[in-house]
Amino acid sequence: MRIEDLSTDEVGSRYRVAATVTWEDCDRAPQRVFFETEQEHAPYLSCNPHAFLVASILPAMRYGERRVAVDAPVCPELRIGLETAMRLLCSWYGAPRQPVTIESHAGIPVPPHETQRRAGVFLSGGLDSLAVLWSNRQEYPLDHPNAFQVGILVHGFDMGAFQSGAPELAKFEQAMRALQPIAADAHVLLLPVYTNVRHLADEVDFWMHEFHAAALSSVAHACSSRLHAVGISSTSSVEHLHPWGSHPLLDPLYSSADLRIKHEGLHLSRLEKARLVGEWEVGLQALRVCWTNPAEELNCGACEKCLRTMVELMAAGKLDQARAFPTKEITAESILPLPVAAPYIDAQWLELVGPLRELGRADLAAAIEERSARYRRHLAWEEERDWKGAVKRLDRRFLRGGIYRFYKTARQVLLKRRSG
Amino acid sequence: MRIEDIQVETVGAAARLSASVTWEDCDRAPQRVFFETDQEHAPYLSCNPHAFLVASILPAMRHGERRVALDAPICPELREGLETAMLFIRAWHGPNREPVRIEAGAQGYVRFRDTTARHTALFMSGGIDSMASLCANRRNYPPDHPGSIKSGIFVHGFDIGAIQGGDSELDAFERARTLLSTVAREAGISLVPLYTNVRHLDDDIPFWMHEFHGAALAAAAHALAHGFSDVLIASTFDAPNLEPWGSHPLLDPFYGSGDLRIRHDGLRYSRLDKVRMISEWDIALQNLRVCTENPSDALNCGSCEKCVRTMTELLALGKLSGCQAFPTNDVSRELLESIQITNGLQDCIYQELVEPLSSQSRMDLVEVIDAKSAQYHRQLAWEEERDWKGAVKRLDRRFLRGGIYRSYEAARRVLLRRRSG
Repeated sequence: MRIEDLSTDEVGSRYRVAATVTWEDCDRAPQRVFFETEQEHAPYLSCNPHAFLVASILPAMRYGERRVAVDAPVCPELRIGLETAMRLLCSWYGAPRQPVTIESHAGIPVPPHETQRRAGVFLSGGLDSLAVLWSNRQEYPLDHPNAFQVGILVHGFDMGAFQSGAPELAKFEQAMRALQPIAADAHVLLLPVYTNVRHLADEVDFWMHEFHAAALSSVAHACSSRLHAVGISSTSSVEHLHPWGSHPLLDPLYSSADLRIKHEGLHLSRLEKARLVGEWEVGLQALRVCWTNPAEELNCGACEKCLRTMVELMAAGKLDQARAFPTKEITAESILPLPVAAPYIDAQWLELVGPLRELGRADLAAAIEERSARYRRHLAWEEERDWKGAVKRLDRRFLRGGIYRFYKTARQVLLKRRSG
Repeated sequence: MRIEDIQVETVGAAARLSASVTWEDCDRAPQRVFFETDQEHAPYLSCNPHAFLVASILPAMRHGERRVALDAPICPELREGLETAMLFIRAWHGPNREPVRIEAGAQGYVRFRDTTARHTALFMSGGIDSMASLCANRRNYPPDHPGSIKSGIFVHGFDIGAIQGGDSELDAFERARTLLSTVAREAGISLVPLYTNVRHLDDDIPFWMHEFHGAALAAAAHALAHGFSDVLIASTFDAPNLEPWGSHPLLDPFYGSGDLRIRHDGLRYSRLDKVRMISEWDIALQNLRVCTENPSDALNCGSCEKCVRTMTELLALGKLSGCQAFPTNDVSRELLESIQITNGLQDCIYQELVEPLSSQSRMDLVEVIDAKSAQYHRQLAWEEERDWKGAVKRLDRRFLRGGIYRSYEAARRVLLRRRSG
């Protein structure tokens, strides 16, 4: 892969920095990768080669590129960090991933002596980022170098994510409007950034498990002329960390000598985050947790993430005051069929059982426990930890899969008879 | 626990930063914790409460203290970081550890450096990890880069003079310091000696290794924070082989504050990568100090596991014969047989040597490594109940309420009585 032709440009009312990414070892068309913001925020963007390198390195590894060549200086801290991040991802997810060689023959940049740059945080309007912002505002005096002064909302990640999908610009504008009172109340500048970085490899699994923190960090590097540190809010808590695209081991590895990427909020559990945001009236009314991006509302109120957040706010005693959800009615029947996508989500639900019982909502607590038990049984089956798994392992080890083959054949015969 | 009476003073030829630490919820005597350096580096010391908070928090948690109280403002970044680090320690080492509440003076941000210019330092012991960090830094960073290491910090009181009431081993420290000064001169960095009794807050060896040493090093960095913006702790593990450990990329950065960044350095390199880098830098190779036995007449004893491991690594790279830091320049089958593989890190390190030793036709050593590794994995399978005995134990507990185990224990006691009778 080559990163070339770095340029700055004006596109309508926006200021743009861009570079051409050319694939060398796989059959993919060259892409013009860009970061844009409104003209009034143009000084935040610079044509920083680090932004394009951080954006490209994991897609390059994903598609088996052997190198990423940049015709610009690369910071040694970033280069070593990216090499380490790739090794970590290879150890988490295994073959066919192979670390990509970073080639730069343009010397090493020496960052200027520290100027008055600020700390920023990525904002989506979700519970994680609002809790981190509010915690920072309450704990950090404004003269602290890591007191957040800028909140970045990105178009092209959870909105306008897919190359062939709708750009969802109206949805983005709605999210911007919802975040404005939050930014004003927290005394941070709201910085919109538009990018097509995710289009380098827009598969959902890759995004979630490997890519999203690198993509966020690439936006931070594009803004590093005004920012010295940028926070990415943690999804998980310490007890339930697992390999994920944003992780306290990974995110700091995307730092350079002049820009620190921080994984924020690990000290807070999901319920603690709900309590923090619940105590912040402006934040509570502007929460946007829903991934379904409904046309009229901030949140659909029916998906797993909406319901989880609503129950968390209920456990924190704040759901009645929250106007960001179309309903406040939650029943055991609405919880039972919800899917559980990962153990950390199961843990977030289970954290609510005690507080719900104290609130007199034993029906919801029981529904959560029943659903969790079902999920754990499924997990045990998937990981072959139940009795069926023991039979499967014995079959593979001692009978070379004979039982499985017999079962498959018998099943086919039965199906044929039924259909015949 | 209370931290009080923080002061900087001159003690003979040294400058000393100290504070009183008083335990409140356990029966331990008050301690005067100190950090000392020579007059040349005295300006690096300041009345920094962070040094004592970082030093005390994990011993306080281990001994069940409910709070650490100090009458000084604490950086919110450090407070958040310590809360996170305690959660990691609890997640790794068991729920009997309860995070300690931090009670500090008025909120505020106090800078302990009067400049924003960056100055990077590295903790040096003379071992493979820190020598390799220095080596890699010299290769990767131009001298005018803020990430380029300018100082090495060498601590007395951690691996030398560690145990309260034990030998202070000042001779061993001075000897190692002289040799490290040679490396520092060649690398163009200044060597800052630091003397501390932080480890005496709790000098239990497993606690030091598995929980405390990253925090103790970070405390020493905070004591010198007037001089540094970034302090590096050299990594023991590489990224793919990380395990819970007292210095870890999920712990060390959380000991940093708004004006002092603590960085876990060297995750990129495997142990063999590190030895290779050092072997290509003669001054580092000749002054290696990997031995924790601190022998009185040599840098390295040449017979402990760490010495044997490093010698075998150098041998695998064809560099042991040119190295004068060890008493012998070969590794015999008998010497390698004398060591035991007792953890995943060692196993991983020895496995990495199989291929280069094979290519040098040292199959005698490869055989020993294979046998030791197999023995370690058998032991691990037994401990984790993954072998057939484990399957029986689990079935026994689940379906027979431990009946087989109780019968076995009773039969064993009878047999022992008969034998002794």
